[in-house]
Amino acid sequence: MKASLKWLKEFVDIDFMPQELAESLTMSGFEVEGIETVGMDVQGVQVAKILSIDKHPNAEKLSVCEVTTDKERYRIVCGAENIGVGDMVPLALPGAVLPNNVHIKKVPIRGVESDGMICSEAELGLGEDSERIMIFDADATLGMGIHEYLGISDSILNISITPNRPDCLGIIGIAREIAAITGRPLKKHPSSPGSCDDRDIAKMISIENELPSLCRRYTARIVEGVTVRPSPLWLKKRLEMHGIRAINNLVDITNHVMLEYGQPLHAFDYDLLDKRRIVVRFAEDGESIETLDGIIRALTKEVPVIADGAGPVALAGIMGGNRTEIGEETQRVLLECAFFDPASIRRASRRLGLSSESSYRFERGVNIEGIGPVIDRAAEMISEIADGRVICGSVDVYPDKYVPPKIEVNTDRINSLLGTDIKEASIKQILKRLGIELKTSRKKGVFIALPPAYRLDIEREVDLIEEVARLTSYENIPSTLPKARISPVEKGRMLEVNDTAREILSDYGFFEVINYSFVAQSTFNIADIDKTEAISLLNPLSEEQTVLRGYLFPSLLETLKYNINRENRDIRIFEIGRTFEPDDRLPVEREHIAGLIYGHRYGLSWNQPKDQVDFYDIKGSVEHLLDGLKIRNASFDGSKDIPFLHPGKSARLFLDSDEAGFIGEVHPATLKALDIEESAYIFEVSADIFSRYYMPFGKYKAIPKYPAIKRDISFITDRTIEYKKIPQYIMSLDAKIIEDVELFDVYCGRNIAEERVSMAIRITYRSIERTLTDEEVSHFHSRILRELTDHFKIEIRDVESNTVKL
Amino acid sequence: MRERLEQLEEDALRKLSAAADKDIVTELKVRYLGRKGELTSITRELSKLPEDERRSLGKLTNDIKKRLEEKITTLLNDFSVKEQEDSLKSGILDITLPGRRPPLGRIHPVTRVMGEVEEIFLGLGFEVAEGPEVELDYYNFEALNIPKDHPARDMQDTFYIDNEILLRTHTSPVQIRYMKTCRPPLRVIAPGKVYRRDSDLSHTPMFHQVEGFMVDEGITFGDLKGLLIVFLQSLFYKDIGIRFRPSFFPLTEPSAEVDIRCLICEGKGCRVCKDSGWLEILGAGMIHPEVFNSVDYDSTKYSGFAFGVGIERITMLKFGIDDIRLFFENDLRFLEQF
Ligand SMILES: [Zn+2]
Repeated sequence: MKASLKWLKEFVDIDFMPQELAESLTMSGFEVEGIETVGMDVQGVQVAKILSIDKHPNAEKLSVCEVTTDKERYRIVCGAENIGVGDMVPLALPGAVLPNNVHIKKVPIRGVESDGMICSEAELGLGEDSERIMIFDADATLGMGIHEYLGISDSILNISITPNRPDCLGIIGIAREIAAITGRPLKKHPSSPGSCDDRDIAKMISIENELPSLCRRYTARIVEGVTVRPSPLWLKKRLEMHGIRAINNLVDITNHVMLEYGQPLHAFDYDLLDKRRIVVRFAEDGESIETLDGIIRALTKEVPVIADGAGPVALAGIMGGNRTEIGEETQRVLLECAFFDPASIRRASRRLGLSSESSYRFERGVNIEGIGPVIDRAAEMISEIADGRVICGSVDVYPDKYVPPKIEVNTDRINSLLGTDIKEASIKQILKRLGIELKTSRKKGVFIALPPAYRLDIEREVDLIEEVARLTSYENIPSTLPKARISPVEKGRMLEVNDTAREILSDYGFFEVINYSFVAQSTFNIADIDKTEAISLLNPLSEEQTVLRGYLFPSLLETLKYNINRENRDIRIFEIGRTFEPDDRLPVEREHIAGLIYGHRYGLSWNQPKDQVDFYDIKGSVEHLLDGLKIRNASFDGSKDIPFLHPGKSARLFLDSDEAGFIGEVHPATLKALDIEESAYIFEVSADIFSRYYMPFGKYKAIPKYPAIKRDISFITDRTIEYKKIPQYIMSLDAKIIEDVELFDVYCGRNIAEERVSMAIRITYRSIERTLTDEEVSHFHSRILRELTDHFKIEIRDVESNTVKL
Repeated sequence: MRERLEQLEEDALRKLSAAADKDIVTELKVRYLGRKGELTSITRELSKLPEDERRSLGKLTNDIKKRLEEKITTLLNDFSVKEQEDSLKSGILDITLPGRRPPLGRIHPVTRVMGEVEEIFLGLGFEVAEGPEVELDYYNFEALNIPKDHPARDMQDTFYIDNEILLRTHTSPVQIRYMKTCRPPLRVIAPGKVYRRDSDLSHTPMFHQVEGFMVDEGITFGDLKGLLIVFLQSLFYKDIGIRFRPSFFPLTEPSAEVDIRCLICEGKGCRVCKDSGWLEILGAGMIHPEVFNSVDYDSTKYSGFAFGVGIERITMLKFGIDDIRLFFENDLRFLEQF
């Protein structure tokens, strides 16, 4: 809500700076988001008097005037014809800046030097008239800046009005609040009843309200003999400063009164109202209305309308219709001022997709008791500004009078909720300042508060407690620390897993990324989930964000692409977030951890290999993660059927028999579709399942006391034999003295048949009970060699015994 | 025999003196003093000699052996010192070449700040609770005193899945879910992603929030102030200016907006604080009686407060980031700075 300081001053004395006013409004709940100084777009233009007018020696249509600001005289070349000697005019001298950044200079015009310029309304940005020089009243002060003279110098406060305070959607409401904050009185408009035509208004218009609970009050007045024309400059300017476009004097008056009182009004051309009838009712299916914005709207029977004998003439509380619009021919005006049920107006406005200054106020709630003065003020302004003749009285349909809620207030409860020690007298004084009526109660320590009709937000005691806190100022409420019982805190396993995984992966060279939970349908499809599984947003912001993610890795591929396009080449990223799968009512949400690697393993470096990452980098990352989370019992099973992964370079991760995720090279077709040229490797695992196996405090194992003996075996085997079976088999032979089996070389290529692979493993023998002898290890080792040869048909290359005593 | 021994010593000493490096000395050591060395073989011959000759020659042999050993030790020592000196002279590296580093990784700045906020509250005895990101209208709005057709719904532009299901616009629904299953006293924070239909320099359709609440008998607005001051001082710095001003949130009453002194201009006024000298940092208030009604708490017995803080905003202020969208673009050149 924009509020002119000058206008506010009509209702309350403000003798401090706009910044100070802004500060106290902000600190009482009306945040001032900015202060705009207006009238400053015209600089250095003064009031001057024309002393003489002569013909221009070289130009038929120009004249040369001598003007004065009382201090000095100037020669001005001018083309307008409406000026005469003695006229007071706006004079712009060199240095002056006009709207649109026009800088005034001394220039010769057809051979005569002009010291400056005398201006039209249009040149000053004050109106449309560009033909004629603007002429001020004869008593204007010479040399005065014109924005000061015209009173267009003002400060506009841009105040954020919270939804609970519609009473401050008008100048008077804000002034009332300033009065309450500062303790100054609110000034009332001088009521000028004026003369009126005492014909019986009830005979001129019939008002039927079919919706008494929706339209709780409907008041109408009639003004005759109006002249519709542009508004006077001050009115146009005022509306413009408050963000409303001037239209004609009648419409401008209703808007002015709305800005002043916060109560919307509507003006109908009385002579265009069919059968001189107003009916408040729901629209009928099939009816339509062309609203003032020129749009024809089909109506349904949920939309409340104002109708005449022929059909709807306005959408109740939202916007008027074209058929009864005020125009140049209008002579008689019917003013409408009403109270509509807030929720009903909001529903209708949303249904129609149409909101206005009027609906904005009605859906928050207007002052049902304030309607009389509002419509009187509008009628009065019409008689003053549009030459109208007011018909006495009004038709006021107001069946159920406003009854304020009676709220019990308990001083102790106020103080115990706020943590204060405010005396009852102070509380009462604060409430009275807010226009709240107080009554005594028979109950001890309790009194009754009756809020005014414009404070629809005050319904219960806590609403009054807030008012007391607000006017006491939050800054004056002492800060204390809550008394709390000491209790154990737990972060939760899931959050712990997430936090630990974050540490591990970022230490391991991964960057954490955060992507939106909603993705494009095409991104969703990368994961090749059944398309019916997508959860779509009803009202997405863009095509890129329409469905909720089923997996995280498609977003990582998008992030990869984004970075490749920005020439970030070697990429290791991970994300922790939720995935969504449709279910009965709410979707199932699962926490996932996903990672992606791409490009060089070490980046560009002079002292590290320039290798590309491969499958074993992504596998190693997941192994490292599992290790860091102390998750044992993990196994990888090769899988050929994950559609978005390379069939020969992918695996499922199992924790015991729980499937916990997958790793692999992204399918070349998927990468191609995304225009990604090199291989990318991904993993995606379930943090939920991880959290079940996460063992932050596994039992300690003693450091071995006895030395180990290590023996290496180098062998050639068929590629079809999975490596993991070999150590499994060896361990199964005698887990007691075999401590570990490590793979330290894999080779295929020269000297090895195509379908074969050479490997080298190291077996660590150790007993926890005694020192093993060379002989028994050798004996056992030979058995292993035999068994491996038999079982896997491996071919032993050479046996190199390697005894390390530890 | 004596001449042979003397000749041997002379030869050995001459050769040792001429030795150019450690290897030659070691070689000579083996040649003269080794198990099959020249001196050793002479010693063996000594046993065949008569007693008195054997004794005197034996002494001589031992003396020669001692002298040779001394000479060899000295030489070896000298060579090793020299070798070390040479290696120190020749082994000079260009220490300006870049070091060998493991790949760089980073935690996202938003998660880092979120973690910081969580740690502060864990330290104050708050528990962490979570709830679904896709919520029922009931938990996100109605139970929080935001009925349908209420203008307060305009404050949070919402993404809908259907009429009743939406993406949560705040983590406050966790408040309802938690209070429905637990009784006071309680101190809880609910961190997580929230969604609003908004996108510009300072808004993204998804962002992170930490909502906190505390319910017990006798909790006051003063307590709310005190606790949030402790929080903000821990999060920023001890002397930071903090102010509380009235505001409106349907789920709390009285409601407050909490500002901190602008971190950029320290209150003088700048572009970031829109010349006010203050930065809005969080919203808070005393839990509304209607919210207690939704979870069957007796609002005449219990009171409590709730607050919500936007993590992106704090992160932006802490690091001086001026465009919120950077957080979700995930450009590595951005991420590597944190
Ligand atoms: Zn600042």
